[in-house]
Amino acid sequence: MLATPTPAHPRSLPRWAALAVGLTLAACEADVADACADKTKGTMCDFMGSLGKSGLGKDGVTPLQGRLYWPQDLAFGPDGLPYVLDWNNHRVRRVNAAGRIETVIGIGELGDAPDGPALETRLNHPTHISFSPIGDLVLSAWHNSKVAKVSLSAGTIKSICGTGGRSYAGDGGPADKAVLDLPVAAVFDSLGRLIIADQANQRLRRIEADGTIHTIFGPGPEWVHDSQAKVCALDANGANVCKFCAKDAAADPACKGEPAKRPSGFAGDGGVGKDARMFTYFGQEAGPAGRIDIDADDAIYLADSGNHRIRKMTKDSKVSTFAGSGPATYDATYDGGLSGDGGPANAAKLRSPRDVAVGKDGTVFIADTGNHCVRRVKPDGVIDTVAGICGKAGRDAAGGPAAATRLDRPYGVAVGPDGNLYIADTYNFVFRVVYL
Amino acid sequence: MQDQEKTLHRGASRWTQAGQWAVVWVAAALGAACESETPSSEPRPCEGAAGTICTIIGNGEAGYDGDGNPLLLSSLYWPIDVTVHADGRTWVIDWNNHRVRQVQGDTLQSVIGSDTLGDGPDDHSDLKPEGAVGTLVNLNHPTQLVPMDDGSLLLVAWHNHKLRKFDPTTGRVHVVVGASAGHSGDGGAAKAAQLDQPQAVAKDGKGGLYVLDQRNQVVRHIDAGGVIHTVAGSVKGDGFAGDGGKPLEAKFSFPKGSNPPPGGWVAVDAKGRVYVSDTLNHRIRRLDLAAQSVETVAGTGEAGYGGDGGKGPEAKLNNPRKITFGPDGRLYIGDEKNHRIRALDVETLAITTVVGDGKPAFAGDFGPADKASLWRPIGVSFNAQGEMLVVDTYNHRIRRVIGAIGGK
Repeated sequence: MLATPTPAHPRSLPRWAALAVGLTLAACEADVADACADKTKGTMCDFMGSLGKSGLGKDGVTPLQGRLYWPQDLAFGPDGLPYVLDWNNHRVRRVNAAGRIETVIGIGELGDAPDGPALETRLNHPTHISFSPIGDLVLSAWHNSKVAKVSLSAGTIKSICGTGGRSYAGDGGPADKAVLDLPVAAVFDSLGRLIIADQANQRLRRIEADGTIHTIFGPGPEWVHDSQAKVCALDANGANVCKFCAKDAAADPACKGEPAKRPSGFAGDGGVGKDARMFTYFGQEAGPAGRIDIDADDAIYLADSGNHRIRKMTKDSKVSTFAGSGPATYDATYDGGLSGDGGPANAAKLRSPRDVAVGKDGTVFIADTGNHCVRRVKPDGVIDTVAGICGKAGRDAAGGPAAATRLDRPYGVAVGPDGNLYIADTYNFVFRVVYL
Repeated sequence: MQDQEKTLHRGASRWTQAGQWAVVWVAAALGAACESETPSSEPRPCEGAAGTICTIIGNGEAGYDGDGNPLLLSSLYWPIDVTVHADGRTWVIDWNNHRVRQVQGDTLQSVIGSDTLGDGPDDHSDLKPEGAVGTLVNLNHPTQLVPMDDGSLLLVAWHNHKLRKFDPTTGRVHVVVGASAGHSGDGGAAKAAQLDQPQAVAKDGKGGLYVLDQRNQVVRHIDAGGVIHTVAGSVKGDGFAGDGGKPLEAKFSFPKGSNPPPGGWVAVDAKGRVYVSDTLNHRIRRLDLAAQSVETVAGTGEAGYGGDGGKGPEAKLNNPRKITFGPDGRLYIGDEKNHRIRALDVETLAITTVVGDGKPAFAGDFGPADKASLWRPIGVSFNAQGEMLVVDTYNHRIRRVIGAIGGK
């Protein structure tokens, strides 16, 4: 079912009736007729939205009758349904079990993502969804600077990390008191810890089992005052160490100093997370950047957009470049490149990748956003292109080979439970699927 | 529907009689979804007797289908204002499409704004002397466009915290006020000052401007020499206070927080008095900066609807948005959550409803304006003929009330 983009074909009806349904749909919307009868390997089909038509559209219609506005990403829930980030509509929508578009989070108006009924909350440009081990939806409410948990059964939303202020604060303390700055994505590791890509803070942070938050990629605060005037910090082994310290004890270097503000750059390959630097865009013109995914061994893959690389951090904090290449230090004049298919991924060039997704077999898909294509790194480390014509933005109808169908700035990739590749073809306003 | 019937008819001969009936049943069951995507009829031009309301721009579908479609088949998304120049040129501030679109013939053409959300062109050329091509300037929720005396147009780039100047002859855009969000620069050149989500501006009649600086909760003034000052309100201090006191001791209440919806507006009357649409106080305030006074001219402070036929201060408003003076000298109010346009005589303070029956819906085109339904109208403007244009925001349409609004 998941791979079937037209769930309006009920299997229980006789074949002629199904054909009639198909004809009915085709007749009333010829432009979105199912051109994708061919679901053979390598074909690209539209999955949700109307190619080239941005808008709000209506709930209650079939996925291809609907409209989306700059869709960012999608994720499949434990219920098998796709949940999508309808970015400029400030909503999360899904294709429900009846095969119809349904809004599940957000009233669509701007606000500070208040807790309460999920359909009444006011989001500002949400960017990512993942699901907790017990099936709660976790939403990265990007411009709200909050990560929130949504109970789909109760229809409620509650912030779990981020006060809504935009800054870097709170390490060592409870996650709900911490301050984030444009959290763009959040994923769970195998221990149930939530890793947050804190875009404008240039860091990855992690909510531990005890509910506290720490920085795991990028510099953490040297020391953090807790409620008892202790100062706490992670030691080299990642343990939280606290000691008493008068707040005015300027003589003790551990007791002063502001954490680095937006420590962007490129550094740390071959070292550990706290010494590493990323460059994920910030400032008023910044779009979503720096999404993450995690593999079966708890290695984190980071779309290090401004460095035009995919970084990898293993569970023992070893950092490397997994794909992409560029200058040895951050260089604002280097705006990425396009090369390397057929060779090792970390010798290839990417341009402003915004998302990454790991398949069951360890294949890594890269939204090579600035190149308008999706790259693929197979477990043998060789990179190729799986969708779009790299270097050429366009608005091509679906139904043909994915590698001959142009995309326009795809911001998101995901692997479905069916093993197929789902692409947020953001500036074409559609989600597309590539059969693999 | 005709195409659909033909398609079914062509296919029917291949099926059994029983099959045909089942096909009809299945088609009927799916008909609703199909019909909803089909335009119900040809768009009807906006014509009729004085006092008739009809849609002039927008098909009611929230979105952006590209430029160049006929006006009545064009999609808007939460339009917030419409600007009409004395020479008839007309622009729609298409808020959630992040574009300024000009009426050209029977179409809309984007003149400022690109296909990307952001803040200026990628090369930042709107900060340089050469300026930027308007359609390469990324915007984030523009709220107003004001014709200036020098022929340029001033764009209030709300979520960019900036004022941008657009030269319609060259199509070029320059940033003229603002940088990142904040409140700074008072006493100095406005160009270097910080604003925080400016919502609207109003010309002071002396070559200067008032700026409704929403998230700073204040009104600022940029004089003809380009120097900026805060003239009313308390910086970041929202509330309700100050009637009977001095403007800088007053408090307004505009939407706040990190991600507020837009709110507040400013207008100036012929005597130079300044009017503030004090949205979350559900009032219209009046400032006399020469006399250093503040008063409420409409709204009791309680959100609601009532008081037509009486005096403004005894009447209720609900989330008032744009305010602007009509050709009859009255102050027109986009009374958003009452789904009505109100008019206030600023001398007698008589208030009345001029458009909208209060039902949040799209209804009443080609009937009398006061019987029509609007849905959260934010803007109201007047065209060169003195006719009222209603920005019917949640209906994603611009509607016109036929007939000039004359003198009193």
